Amino acid sequence: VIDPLPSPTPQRLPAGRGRHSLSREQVLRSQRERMLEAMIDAVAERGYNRTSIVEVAARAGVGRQAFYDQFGDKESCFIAAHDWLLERLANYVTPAYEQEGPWPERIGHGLAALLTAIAYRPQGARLALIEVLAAGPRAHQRHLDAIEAFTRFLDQGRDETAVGPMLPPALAAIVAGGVAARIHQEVAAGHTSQLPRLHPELLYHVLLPYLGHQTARQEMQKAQRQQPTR
Amino acid sequence: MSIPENDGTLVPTAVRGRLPAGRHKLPREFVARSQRDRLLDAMVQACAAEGYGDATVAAVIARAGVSRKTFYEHFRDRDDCFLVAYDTFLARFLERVIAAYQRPELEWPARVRAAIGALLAFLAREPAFAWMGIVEVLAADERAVERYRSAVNELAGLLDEGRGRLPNADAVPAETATMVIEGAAFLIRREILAGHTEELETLRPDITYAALVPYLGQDEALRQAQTGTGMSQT
Repeated sequence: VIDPLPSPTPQRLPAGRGRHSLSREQVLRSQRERMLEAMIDAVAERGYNRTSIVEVAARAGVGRQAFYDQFGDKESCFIAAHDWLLERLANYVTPAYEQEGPWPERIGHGLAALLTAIAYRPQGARLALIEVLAAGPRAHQRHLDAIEAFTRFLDQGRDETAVGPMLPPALAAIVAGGVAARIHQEVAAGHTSQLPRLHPELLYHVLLPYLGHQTARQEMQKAQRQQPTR
Repeated sequence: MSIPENDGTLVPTAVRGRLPAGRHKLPREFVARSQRDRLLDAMVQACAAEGYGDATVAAVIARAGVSRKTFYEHFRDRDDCFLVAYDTFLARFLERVIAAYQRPELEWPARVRAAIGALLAFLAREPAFAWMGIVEVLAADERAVERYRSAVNELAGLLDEGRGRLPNADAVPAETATMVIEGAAFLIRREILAGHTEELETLRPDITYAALVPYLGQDEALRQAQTGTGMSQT
C-alpha cells in the first residue's frame, strides 16, 4: 500500500554528542515533525486532555526545551499537528478532484481519495475529527475551517445545473458538514479503516442537491458496482 | 426532572435573581429548586462565557451565588450538573421544534418549514443555550455527546417521514436525513462561532432546501425554500 499522506519519515538523529552532517535547520525540521507525529499518536491513545508535553517530547526523542522552543504550549503543537494533517490531506484530495472529466466523476474521485486517506491513518483521523473538539475554541475553529475548505469543490456543482443560480448560498456548507459528521460517526465507532465503503452513499449525498435524485442515484449505483468486493 | 413551564428560557425569570439574604419564609422546597435552577442557569452561562473546560464548579457557584456545599447537595460533580442542564435545555428545545412540526392541518413540507423556523428562532433567542447545545457539547464527556446524537436522530426520524412521499423510497440511503440534520448543525455552529447567533433565522431557506430536496426533488424544494422569504420563483 502506498502511503497517501507521505511525510518525510521522522528518523531519530544519530545518538550521542558527536558531530553529524545535518544543518541546524534540518535538525529543527526533523525535531518538529517528530513532535507532530508524537502528538498525533499520543492524542489518539490518551486523548487531548491527558496528553502531556513531557510525553510528546519523550515519544519524539527530544528534550522538553526543544518542545517549548518550537511550539510554546500544548495547544499550539496540537493545532500545528492538525494543520499538518489537513495540508497533507488537501495535497492528496485536490489532484484527484482536478483530473479531467465531468464534475460528478471528479467529485467521485475526490471523495474516494478523501476516504482512502483518512482510513489510512486512524490516529490522524482521531486527532482531526474527534480530539480537535476537545482542544479548545481555537482548535474547534480550525476544524470548522477545514470542513469549509471542501465547499469550493461542491460549489462548482452550481455550474452543472439549470437551477444553479437559485441554490441557497450555504448549501455547500450543509452538504460538507453532513459528510464530515458521517465520517466522524465511523471514526468514533472505531471503523476508520472501513471508510471507503461509504463512497457510494456519500457520493449520492453530495450530488443530490445539485443534480437531483435521478442523476445522483445513477452515480451512486455506478460507484456501488466499482466497490471492491470483500 | 420536571421542566417548569416558562417563556423558553431555562430558568423562569421570577427565580433568576437571588433570594433575599437572611431568613425568609419561603418553603424549603422552593429554595432548593431555586438554588438548583440557578445552578443550572449558571452552568449554561459559564459554558457560554468561558467554555466547557473552564466552566468549573467554582465558576458555576460564583455565578449562581450559592455555596460549594449546596452545589454538591444537588449534583455529584461538574459533569453531572452539565448533563442535567443540557437535558433540561434539550427537552425544551425538542418540545418546541416537535410542536411546530406536529400540525396535522398543514401539508408536510409546511410542517418541516415550521420546525426549521422554530429551531432557528429558539437558538437565536437563547444564545447561551445555543453555544452550550451546539458548540460546547462536542467538547463535553461522552454522555453529553450521546444526548446530542440522540436529539439529532430524533429530528432525523421526523424528517425521514418524508420518505413516505417518495415513489421508490428505498432508493434514498438510510443515513440521508441524519446527514442533513448534522449538516445543518455544522452550518449553525459555524454561524454561532462567527458571532452571528442572533441572525440564525436567515439560514432558514438554505436548511429548508437541504432538508426537502431528498424527498421533494429540486424544483419543489426550491419553491418551499423561497416561501415566506419574499423571493418567490416565477
